[in-house]
Amino acid sequence: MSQRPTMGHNRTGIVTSQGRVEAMLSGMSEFPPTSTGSRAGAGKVRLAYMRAGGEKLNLGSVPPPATIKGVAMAAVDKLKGDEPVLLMDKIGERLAFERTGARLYEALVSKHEADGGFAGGPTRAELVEIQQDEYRHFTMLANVMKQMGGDPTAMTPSADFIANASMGILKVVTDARTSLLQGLEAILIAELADRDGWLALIELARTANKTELAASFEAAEQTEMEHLARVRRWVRAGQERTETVSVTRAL
Amino acid sequence: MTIHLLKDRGTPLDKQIFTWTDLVGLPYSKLDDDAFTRIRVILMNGIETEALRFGHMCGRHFGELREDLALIRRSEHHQQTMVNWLNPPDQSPLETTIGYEQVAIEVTAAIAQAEPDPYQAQSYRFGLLEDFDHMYRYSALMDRVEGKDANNLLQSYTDILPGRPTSLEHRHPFDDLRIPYDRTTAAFITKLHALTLVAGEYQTHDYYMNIGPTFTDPLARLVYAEIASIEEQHVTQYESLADPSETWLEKWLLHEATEVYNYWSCVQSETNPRIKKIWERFLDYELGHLQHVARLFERYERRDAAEIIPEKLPEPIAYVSHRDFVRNVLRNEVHLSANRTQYVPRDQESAETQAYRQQINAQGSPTDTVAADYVWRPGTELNALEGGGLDVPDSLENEKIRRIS
Repeated sequence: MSQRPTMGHNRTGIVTSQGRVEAMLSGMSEFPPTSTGSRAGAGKVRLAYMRAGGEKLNLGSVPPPATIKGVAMAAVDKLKGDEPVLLMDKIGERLAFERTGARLYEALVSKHEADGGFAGGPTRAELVEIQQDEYRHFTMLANVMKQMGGDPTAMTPSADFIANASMGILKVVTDARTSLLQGLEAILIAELADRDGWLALIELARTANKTELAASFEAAEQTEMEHLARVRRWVRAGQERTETVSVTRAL
Repeated sequence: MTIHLLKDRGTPLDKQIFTWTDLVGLPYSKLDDDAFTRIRVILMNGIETEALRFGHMCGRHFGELREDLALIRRSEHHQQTMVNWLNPPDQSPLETTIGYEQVAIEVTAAIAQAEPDPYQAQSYRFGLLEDFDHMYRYSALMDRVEGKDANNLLQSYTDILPGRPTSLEHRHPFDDLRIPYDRTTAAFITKLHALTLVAGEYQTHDYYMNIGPTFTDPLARLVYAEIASIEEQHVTQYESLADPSETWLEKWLLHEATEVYNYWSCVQSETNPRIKKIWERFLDYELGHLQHVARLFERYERRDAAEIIPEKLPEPIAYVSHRDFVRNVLRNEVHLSANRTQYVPRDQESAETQAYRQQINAQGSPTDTVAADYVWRPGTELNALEGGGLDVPDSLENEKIRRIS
């Protein structure tokens, strides 16, 4: 499969439907809108639903601690003014994201096998290496969750909404018709978000005075930063960009 | 709460009214509500789609009834809307699919145990093992393609294990037809069971046919295509269990009674108070429909509706985990197939079924591919792989997965 777009019979724009689009536009004055108001109506409807739901409106909750030790730890954290619920929610989010990330890279390996890669792009081994990192991060977070007395198999609210936010990435990467390069461009969105997700975890761990935890998150964040740099490099090579934007602006 | 089927007047038709915001309320929580709330919502959507489907077919055949049918159908349509829109938007199509299969397993298991007719009960157990296998295949798809755990939806009520392999479920159309109950001798509950399950399977078929092409992963598209084909077989099987000599009005009466029975069953078991109120409201609506159709039945057929509808409802559907029952059926009946209307060991299948299966599986079975060597583990199968599942296969066909245990 070619990594480059080709010119062909795209029919989506008005230029390829000349004659018809003029006919469409000619109807506007004869048949004006029949509903009064403005496009602000959609916002008002959202607001009404949010208000109707009140304080309890949410996707769901973080599950209670899975063990007696976890209950005790959560109680101690609460006394110290720390927020164990938020930290667990975000650990649950990153855990799920990394687990899906491992599968995303597996799908990219299939693309690599089909395409055979491209100049300056990833080798198969490099994709496998990142897949392994994603899986390692998943298992590390699952263990952290267990140590905190939480349940690593539960889907927390943040895991849920981030999975929905990432659904498009999955759709692009698993589509047989997209190229390796397009898959990498989709993964770039995931890697950008992943890096910030890890930074948030580090800060949350530090806020909760969990320094050891913060240190292990920092190691993972370093690895993720490398992933981001590599994916950016591969995408740049795939698009055969010769000009560059300064690093400061790019970051 | 005791229901008197032909005495309780329910809500009169002219009082069955809605607004758009009434129809589109807040959904249940995918994370916090009990899995059986999702199961009830999905099944009741199926019950309402069957009401609409039947009403349209009846209207095409029975001109005098078309106004009554149109009137009641409008209410059924809006009931369906309110019920189906309870599904939360953060629940992806594949997650909802897991819910559909959990309905097919737990509701069919409940019905198979409550069914007094041995042949009908056998039919339910037969279908049960096939949907049970679909759950396993879809769970593998969810884990392997999306990196998610189906048990987040199942809440450990339902096993994720292979059943009768989907690739072996493909049969010649004649081998999916069953012996119908006899309308004159069958128990009332037998009729309600057949209608309930055909409603569930029909909506499952239509759901898979609608969402299957929305997946991008080629294997996901293939898996939906293959399982949707079995759901069509199941619709054929379950609808053939009902006596075709029932008149249109008799069938309409039974449809309304089935709706009453199902909403009443939901009222008995619902744990979400807000959703329970919806079941109670629609139970009253359906009693209103039943009364209306009973009068039509008596006017057109000059028979007492009590010939068809008893005074009291049978025991409600048991919305609980049927794990032990399902496992026993799995142990004892997984080897069965069907030859025309009879359940037989696989080596006694018809030549037509063997030829059909050989043809449809000639290029392999997607459901075999998706679940090759799949063992569910909490979180992901990767948790059970030596070295943490780090071995990405050279090609999917040559995957070598070594398990710790």
